[in-house]
Amino acid sequence: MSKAKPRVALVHDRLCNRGGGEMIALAMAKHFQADVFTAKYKPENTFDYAQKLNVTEISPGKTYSSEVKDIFVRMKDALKFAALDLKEYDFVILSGTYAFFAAKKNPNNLLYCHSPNRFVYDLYYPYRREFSQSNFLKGVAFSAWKNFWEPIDQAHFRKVKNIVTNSRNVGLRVQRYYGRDDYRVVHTGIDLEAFKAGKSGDYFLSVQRAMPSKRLDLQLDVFEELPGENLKIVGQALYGTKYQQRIMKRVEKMNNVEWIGAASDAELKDLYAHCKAVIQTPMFEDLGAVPIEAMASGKPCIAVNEEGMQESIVHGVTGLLVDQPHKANFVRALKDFDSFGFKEKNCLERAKYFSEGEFFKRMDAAVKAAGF
Amino acid sequence: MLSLASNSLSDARIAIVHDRLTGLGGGELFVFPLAKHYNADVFTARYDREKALKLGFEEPNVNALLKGSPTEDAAAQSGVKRMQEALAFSRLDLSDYDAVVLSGNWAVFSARKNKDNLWYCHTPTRSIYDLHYFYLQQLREKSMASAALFKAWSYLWTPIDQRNFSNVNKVAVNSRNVGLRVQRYYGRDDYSVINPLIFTESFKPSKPKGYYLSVTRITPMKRLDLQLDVFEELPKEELVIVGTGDKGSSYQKRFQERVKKMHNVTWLENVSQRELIDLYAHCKAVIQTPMFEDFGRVPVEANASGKACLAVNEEGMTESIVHGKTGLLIEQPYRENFTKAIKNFDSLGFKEKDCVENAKRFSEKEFFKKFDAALSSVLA
Repeated sequence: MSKAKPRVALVHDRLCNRGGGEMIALAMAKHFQADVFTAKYKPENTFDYAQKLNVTEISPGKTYSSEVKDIFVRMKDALKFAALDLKEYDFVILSGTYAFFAAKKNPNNLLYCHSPNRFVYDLYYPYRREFSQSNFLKGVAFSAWKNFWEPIDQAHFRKVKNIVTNSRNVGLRVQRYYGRDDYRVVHTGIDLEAFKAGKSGDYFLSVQRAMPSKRLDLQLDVFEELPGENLKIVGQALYGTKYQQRIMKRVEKMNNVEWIGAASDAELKDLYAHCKAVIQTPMFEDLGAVPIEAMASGKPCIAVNEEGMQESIVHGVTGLLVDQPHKANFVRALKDFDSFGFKEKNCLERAKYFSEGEFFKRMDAAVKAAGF
Repeated sequence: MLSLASNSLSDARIAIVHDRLTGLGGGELFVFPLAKHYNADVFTARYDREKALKLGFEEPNVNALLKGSPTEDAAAQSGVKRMQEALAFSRLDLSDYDAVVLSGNWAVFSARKNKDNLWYCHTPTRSIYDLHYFYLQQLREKSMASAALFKAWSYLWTPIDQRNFSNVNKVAVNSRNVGLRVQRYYGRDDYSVINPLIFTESFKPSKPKGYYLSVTRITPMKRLDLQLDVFEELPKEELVIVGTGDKGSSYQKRFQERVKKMHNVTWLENVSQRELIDLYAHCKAVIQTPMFEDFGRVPVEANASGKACLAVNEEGMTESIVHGKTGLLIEQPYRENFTKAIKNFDSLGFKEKDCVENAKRFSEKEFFKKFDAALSSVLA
């Protein structure tokens, strides 16, 4: 007996840039042949693949480069998601921090959880400190917003039926913040073909958005101490912030650090292929696509020993997990880099677990377990 | 008495400030040996001398800041009494001492007047930080009013706690895990990691007698229901649970009733240290299911007794257990995976030698070596 192909809808926060979340959402849409619903859609700023899909923009309008102003737009988007009625679909995949509000009217849902809202939960205190430092009132307003939004977020999360998390780490966050442990871990996958191994050059590479939570200062401190080593930094700033301007000024004064900024896919592929190793210093990363991309390029990743980083990197085999984000600890790791003898083969082997194909297998199992 | 500035640890005058010493064991276990080692004076809000002495440690010079022996009933834990304690700690002037060790989230109020301090952080206050939502959920199940009250309290308390922390000079944490909490909630990453003081030498391996052992407090965050669920599915396996809880709490009552109905589970409420050592020595393995444990001394005690520990793969548990060698770190879904692990236990082939060796990482000697270094940094 053959069943008719299920009709699937996928709801994602925004398709306005080329982040890890967008990549996974589009891959899922492709795999499940889903119609896509998103609050804001800018085809020119996101992956080209979106143009092959049936995308509906449900909350068109302006977005802001300032995080604070943008929060109000996000809240409005969330209300639109909560009102979204997708009854004509057999099941709905939710992807995003505000998109999961669409669970309200669509009980046949499965959330692919990238993370609970980081502003409200796991990064609340770091953001609060950052905002208070720039302006006391901004800190107070941020707290007030968090206290207002948190119960709304909690209430909508109760409508989520099936939870899939992109990592064990995010699973524990779901358990901690929402008190639910009925999640299933489906590690993400990337298109391994988009990366290649190549001859190692003479530079280390770091890839991230220019935000305080990525600890770019630490990277610069480390390379100030190591004038004989070179660092190239790839990073598109999400918001044209003071932070980025300050970092770029610091970089200008250093002759062994190069600020590359936004890089095209082809450029990035080359940068990965010819680096010595990749450096990662994000604060409490969800899972982290960069170590996977590094391994897919046959390169080890030297990262802080925090949360998501521990799930992709095999310490001593495909990279190093550095305890405590101190300058001295990283300096030591980089100085001794050659003595660790990382092998390209091991990195490429580890990356296979995070291939798109493996991801789809895991995802299919999760969808089946949900009874869809 | 005037104190001379001193740079060497051996002749420095050291004070230890700890929340309360009520004879429950946890505080005394840490504070008394520490005081003995550094020849330090102890300051605490309330001191139950009679009970504390029964624990068998050598008694240091203890100064109670408040009169009246503490009992652990609800009245003693009331907000008013806690405020009194906070006030007493914040007034404490220890300028006669070269260094002050702060232990506990109330003792940290003493940081304000005593700048040469080292905070040994067991964890940032769990009810406002890492377990906030868990507490909130528990209270919401009881009544919306108590949940709202709790929320209000945490709004009030968080800035006070943050301000206290800003007076802390040096930070030591009992685990990497708690270090990450300090990083997340207070934004400091210059802490030193000093695993807690555990007298691993007092535990001795012996021949297993066939029961599993669980050492835990009887509270919801230790997930005892999970343990009972697992052993309901394994009627041929035996579980001995050792631990006390909040007497008369509905959770404890419900737990007790469930245990009564099960023939393969025994609950021992009051167990002396000697009996506990014996229970560890003869068990087959130890079971641990706490939610987001800070560090978790139980796996270390199990290992010191030559026994493996089967635990949830969460936070502190991952620091003491070497997966596959001195125990298992079990993934979700817990119930299925614990059942499977216990069914297959014999085939896992844990070795007594590996466990005992692992426990040595957490010996008394290691503790004092690291604590010496941290204290010296305060004196420098």
